[in-house]
Amino acid sequence: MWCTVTRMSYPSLPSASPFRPADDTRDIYRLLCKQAGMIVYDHHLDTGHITWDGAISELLGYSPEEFQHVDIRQWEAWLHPDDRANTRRALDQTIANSQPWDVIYRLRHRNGSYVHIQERNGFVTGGGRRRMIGSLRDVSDSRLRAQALTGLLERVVGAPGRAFFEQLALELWRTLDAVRVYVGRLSDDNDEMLPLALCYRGTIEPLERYKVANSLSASVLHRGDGLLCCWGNPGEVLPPHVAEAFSTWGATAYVGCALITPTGYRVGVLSALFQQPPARREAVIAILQAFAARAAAEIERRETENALRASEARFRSLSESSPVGVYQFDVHGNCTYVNKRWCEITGISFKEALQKGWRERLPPDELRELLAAWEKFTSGRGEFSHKLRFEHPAGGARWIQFHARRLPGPGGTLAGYVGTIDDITVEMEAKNEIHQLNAHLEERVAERTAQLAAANAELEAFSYSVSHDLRSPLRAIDGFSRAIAEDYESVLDDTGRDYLRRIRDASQRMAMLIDDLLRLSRATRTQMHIDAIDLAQLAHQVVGELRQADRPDRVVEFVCPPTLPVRADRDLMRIVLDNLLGNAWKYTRRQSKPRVEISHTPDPEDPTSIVYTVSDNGAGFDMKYAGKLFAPFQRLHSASEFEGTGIGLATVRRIISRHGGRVWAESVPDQGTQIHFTLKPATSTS
Amino acid sequence: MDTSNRKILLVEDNPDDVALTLRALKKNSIANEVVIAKDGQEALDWLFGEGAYAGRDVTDMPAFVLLDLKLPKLDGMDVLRAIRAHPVTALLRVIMLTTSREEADIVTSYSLGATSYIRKPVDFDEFIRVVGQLGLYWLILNEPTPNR
Repeated sequence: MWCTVTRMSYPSLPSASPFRPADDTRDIYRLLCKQAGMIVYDHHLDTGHITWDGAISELLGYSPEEFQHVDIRQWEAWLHPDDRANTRRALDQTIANSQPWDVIYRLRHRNGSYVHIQERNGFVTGGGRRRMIGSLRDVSDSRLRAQALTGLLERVVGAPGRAFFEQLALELWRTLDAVRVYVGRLSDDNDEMLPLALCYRGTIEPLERYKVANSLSASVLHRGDGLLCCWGNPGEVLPPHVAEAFSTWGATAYVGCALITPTGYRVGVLSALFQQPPARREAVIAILQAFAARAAAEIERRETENALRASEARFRSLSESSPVGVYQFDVHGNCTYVNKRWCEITGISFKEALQKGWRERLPPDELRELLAAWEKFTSGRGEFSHKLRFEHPAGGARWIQFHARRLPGPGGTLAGYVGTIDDITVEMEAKNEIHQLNAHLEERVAERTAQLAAANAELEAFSYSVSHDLRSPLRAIDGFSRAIAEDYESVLDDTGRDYLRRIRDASQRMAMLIDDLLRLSRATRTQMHIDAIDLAQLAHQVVGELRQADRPDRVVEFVCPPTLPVRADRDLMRIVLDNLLGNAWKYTRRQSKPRVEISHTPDPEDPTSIVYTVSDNGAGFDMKYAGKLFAPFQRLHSASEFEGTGIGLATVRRIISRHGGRVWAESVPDQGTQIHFTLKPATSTS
Repeated sequence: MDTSNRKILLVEDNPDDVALTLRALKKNSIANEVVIAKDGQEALDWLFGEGAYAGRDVTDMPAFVLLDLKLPKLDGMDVLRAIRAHPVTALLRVIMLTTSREEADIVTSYSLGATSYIRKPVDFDEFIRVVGQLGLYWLILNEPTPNR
């Protein structure tokens, strides 16, 4: 009875479903199998009878006739003792589940040596009888074995977690006829080796983590090619404590490979120990390296996956505790996620958010605007920013601010969109309130300005009235007093004349007060024309007039820099200098060598302005009254001592304040006074 | 025409100032007749022979006008404007009477053609200075005037 094999992957055999070939085709297949170096079998599972055919003598050293009676028990007896239990168990499983298998094990040759066999099989059911049909081939050859292992590995990849590395270690141990196979990865700080799997004589054993420093793994990792081999005499090649460990395990040969990821990082070590140095060393190295690369890729993949999972978890936990609403959209515009806060702000449930979003919650116009803004964002560049007002299901109008960004995917693709929403109701209301307040304020300012203008106009009229109407009776008092004094001199005695003189003095003094008051009010209200003017030139004019009005025999020394360019109103500065120089002239009257000086220094408080000082060596005053100096009608000298109204310095202060400057005084009685004021020099501003 | 006989028009509403001005003129031997107008309108009526002065010989122009700046009805500046606007009076000498430096500033800044100004009360020294400036010595010295 002869059937073909199934699941054959050799190009010379069709990979078709089981079929019953004619006798002549059976001969062809037998020949092909023989040429391919394969043994094929047909195992009747109901009877346990196995038909063997193919390259039996080539593979195992027996003649086909000798092999006809080989059954499962005999096959099991030929299995390498280390492989026996595992392989038998796997076979039982594959039969029980009718699952095709693909395994590698070692089978004893007639001469006592062991051959690496790859077995593949499949199941057919014909006439109610189940049969397992399979093939055996020698994969001791490195290339073939590597191919086989890669296949194995692909199946191993699916194993979850640690199982991948354990299966890998187990398969390697079996395939390489090793004593011990170890795979471990470096800890994140590269300080320790964390065991992934250790297979010792066919058993997965636990292993503690260990320090990398001075270990054999360190030697492997430090090798330029990431490969360390020791083919016998470990005591000569390896450190004593390692060599000692070798003898405990009954091993003399060692091959260690660094796990190098596709991106070039060394993340761990794969090593195998052998009782005797293996015959085909290149093959062993090739296989180990292939597996090491696979393991490294797996470690990297898992780390990336873990990192992704961690970052995803971080994102979720962040977004769940976020004070703003967070949402995610995929590239097709489907909402894939909203956080708790999003639901709170919108009053839309998670489920509704994912299914309908805003669609049933906004008035058509608002929805259209939102969608248009979103469309503009997704079809262009830049960020998404949109504001809208809506009725919260819990009642009350709310304002929402939307933001969104693109989520970059691998290789510059678009993975979707992530965005936030913020309840800005309070801000918007505050803003509106501010708008209203501002409008109201502007109204009030306009109102006040009008009031102020009216008050100013009134003041203007008042000033005019003062200047004209108050002076008019005064004029009469003065004029008629004079008329009496002149016309009736003969009928007046000395006392009468004295009284008249007093009346005239008083009225003239009052006229002077009125003039000064007018000047003070003018200094406050006239419009300023700021210009570059020369204070020195103005000062010389004033001094000229003062000299002219003074007694001809009086000589006052006047010192002033040649120019003092400032930015100020000429007329007002003229009033300032009239007052300050006039005062200096006046208060040095009793000084035998009167001296008046104008000087300037940089302003220590404001680098853009200059301090100008008018100093004299006159009467001076007590500094404890300095505070009164610049208030109107405050005098520090009696009128009999020095005439004056006490308005001059008040006027000076108003003028300097209007120029943005400061005025202050320093004085020592009988030694002189310095009046300082600050102004912007003409060069400092444009 | 003997200018010493020509009149002086004093436009002043304040009787005190009128008295003091008349005294100052008299005190200084100015014997010209002084015509007093109590407000701006009366001054213009007198000059142009209108209103209460209808029929007055308007060729009898004053030697000069002493014009107070602040007057009821038409103020000094209005009167001055009217005087300068009319061909008959356009060249009339007008001395403004001011009460403060501020008013003096107004007069100079308006430059409506005031011939000069005197600050009240009309102080004789200042008056002399002003008439001197105006070349009116002939008037106050009672000298015959060349025809101008």
